[in-house]
Amino acid sequence: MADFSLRKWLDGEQRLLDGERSAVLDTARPKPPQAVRRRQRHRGYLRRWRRFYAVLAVVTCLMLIVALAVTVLYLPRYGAVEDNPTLNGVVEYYLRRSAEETGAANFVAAVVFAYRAMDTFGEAVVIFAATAAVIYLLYITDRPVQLRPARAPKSPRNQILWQTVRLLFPYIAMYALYMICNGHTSPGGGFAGGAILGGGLILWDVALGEDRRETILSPERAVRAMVVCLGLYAVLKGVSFFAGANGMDWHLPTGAPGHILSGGLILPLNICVGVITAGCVITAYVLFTRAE
Amino acid sequence: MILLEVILLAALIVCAAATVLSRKLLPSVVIFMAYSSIMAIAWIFMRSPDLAIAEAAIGAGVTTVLFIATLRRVNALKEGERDG
Repeated sequence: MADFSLRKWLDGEQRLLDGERSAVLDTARPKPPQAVRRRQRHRGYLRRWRRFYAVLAVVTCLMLIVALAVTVLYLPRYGAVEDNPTLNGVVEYYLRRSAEETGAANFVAAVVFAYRAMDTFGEAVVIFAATAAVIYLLYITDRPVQLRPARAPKSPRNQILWQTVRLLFPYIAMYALYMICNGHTSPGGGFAGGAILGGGLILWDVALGEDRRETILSPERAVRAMVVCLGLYAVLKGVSFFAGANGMDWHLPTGAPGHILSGGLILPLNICVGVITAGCVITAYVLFTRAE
Repeated sequence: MILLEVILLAALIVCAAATVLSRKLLPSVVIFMAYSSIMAIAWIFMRSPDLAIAEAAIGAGVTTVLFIATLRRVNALKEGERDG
């Protein structure tokens, strides 16, 4: 029942949206007048309570705002070094030593992909879990939508969009690849670059037109690439952690900070995270627009 | 510079309020995109370009596209607005 009404609601059945005049609830069986009266009274209560809830919500929000504003008053001054309680030795250590220890000129990348690489693995797993949830909800159904890969649109209807995308996509992809592969020397990295790559793929997918059976990247392929990259990340970092914990001297050469081939494991990890992020973005878009 | 920051923060608050108070869903999404773009500039002022890039790509780009795709799915857009 719940599944049925959710399906109808997703298909745009407006009447199911407002619960009081629900088609599913009302057509159960004719009720005696007394029950009708009771129900009308109940509705009156509901309306009054709804107003009360609105007032309560506003009051709660105001209290939250005041609490947060008061907290902000007690924060240390922006950029202050002396009276900042969070500024312990770790920050100074990262700033002083990260370049020589990891070989990454961008010390944010050094923290994210070298010192705290296991946390980043958790983030990548979260992104993969989000994709898995989207696939579970929209793709694994009784009648899964049949998608076949396509490169160019067949219909000449949106030629302007298609030609624009054909012109733009190489530059978007190149910028995304630059951001991913240069993550250890300049701002950016796998997450941002992957999102840009996913955005470019979405643009291409939109330009394929109204044929809803064709897609630039099918969910199967995207998930396959994501799983490979997630496994690669796990193996690379697992070996690195295992070797480090057991005192073995196993690591990629760190190289000179600022060069493209530097930073040891950071570059391959960035590529893995970029593929995972792009796969999540494009899979979510394809299934949001295509699934029945 | 301080003046620009104050203007940015004021615009942030205005956009945040407008996102919630907007009656129609599509304008709400577009205002949220504007919020993300302003936030990206604010991150640059706070000297964190990494966050600025991520905010611009994810907040202004991907989130907006996914919101609009969702609105299309639940038929929340009117017929005239759909082919856009």
